[in-house]
Amino acid sequence: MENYENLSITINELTKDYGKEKGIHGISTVFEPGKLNIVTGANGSGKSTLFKCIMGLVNYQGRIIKRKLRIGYAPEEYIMPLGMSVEDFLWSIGKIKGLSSEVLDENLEIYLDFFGLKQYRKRPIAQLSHGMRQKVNLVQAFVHEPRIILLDEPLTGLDIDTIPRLISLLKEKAKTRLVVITTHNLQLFRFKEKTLYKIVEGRLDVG
Amino acid sequence: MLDEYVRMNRKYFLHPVNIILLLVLMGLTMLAMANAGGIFSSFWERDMFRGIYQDNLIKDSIMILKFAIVIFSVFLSLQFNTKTHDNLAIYSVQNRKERFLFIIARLRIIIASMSLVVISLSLFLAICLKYLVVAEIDYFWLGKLVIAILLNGISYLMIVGLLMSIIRSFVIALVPVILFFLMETNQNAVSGFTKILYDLFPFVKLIDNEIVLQNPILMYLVYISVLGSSVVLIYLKKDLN
Repeated sequence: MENYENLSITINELTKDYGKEKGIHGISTVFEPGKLNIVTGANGSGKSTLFKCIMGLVNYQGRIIKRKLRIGYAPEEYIMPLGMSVEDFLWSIGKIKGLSSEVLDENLEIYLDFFGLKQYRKRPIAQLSHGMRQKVNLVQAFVHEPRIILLDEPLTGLDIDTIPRLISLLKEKAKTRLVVITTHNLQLFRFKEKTLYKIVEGRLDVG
Repeated sequence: MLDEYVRMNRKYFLHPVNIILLLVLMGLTMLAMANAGGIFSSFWERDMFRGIYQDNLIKDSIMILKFAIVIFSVFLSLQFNTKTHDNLAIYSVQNRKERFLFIIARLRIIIASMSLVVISLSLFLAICLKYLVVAEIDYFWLGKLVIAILLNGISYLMIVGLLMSIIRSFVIALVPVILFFLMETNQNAVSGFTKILYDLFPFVKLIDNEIVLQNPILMYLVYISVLGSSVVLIYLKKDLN
């Protein structure tokens, strides 16, 4: 049985200043597992910045308390190494995140199949469409089966067949893991097991 | 885990397009060196003017080698100081220790790549010396050449790495070209900015066919280490956006 308590991310007075208007200011909240955590907000409101702070990618003021667990993170701006093949890229990420070759092989099969990427595994990322790259971006976040998953705008660029399947997957994973996503398409998440957060000009409202 | 980061950086760098570009760069450099040794002249002509061909091969090849290293430094800098490469860190780094390993892996790959190119081109020069102009190979001289050119190349990489971690602009990658021309055209400078450049950069000179560096090798190693450490420290502190 997973221990939900240990998966929470507690944020206290988080501030990241980029200049006059951008960034986030004094955000305090707790992201809990068991439900899908959905962060919404207008463009430039600070959603991606919040994730970057949680991932420790940027310097910030305030405190973020989280367990030292591997996090599956898919950034919104998925600038990938175009010369690398899909398989090389995902394999590298999986190995760095500590997976054995056998488990990594198995997980790659599962997620490449899920996202319809199997036939593209040997192709350089440069040859993939925008939507396909987003799928690779998502696979790298899932492939090491993290207990904490942060996905920044995961629905962007996906085809209409993949979107409902991804939402179901997220709903399923949120039952046993901490899953936090940002989205502009709140209407697509038509189920009760979710907590909404709204960021307005860098400040957080919990819905 | 360092090995995994090194492997990822290697796969990032050595994709087919880059391998072709590398081979073209090395091929052109080797062709220019062989041309300096008179590969397109007849055997009799090379034999008759052997001394001249030997001198030309050594002098021209070192200049060609120095310029090839400048081009290779620009190429490597453009590969490894980009947003795409930083994004590899965004995907794979979660704490300070991993950031440290990531930047160390990056430095290892660029230094290893530079070393491979310098050693390959120097060996090609040795082959040209032995088989094209039939000269005795002084392995000590060859070793000194490899070290001097390598120090030169690594110092270019470090200075560009440092500048690009502060100012993210492709123009910065051209710094080695500017340094190369400044140092080649002001060799007699006794004061001012160019004098400082000669003191800091391992500028390779050929005097009476001897490889000469302005300062002791140790000084350049210290200088490169300071630049390398600064690159690492800035990388550990900066925002990865």
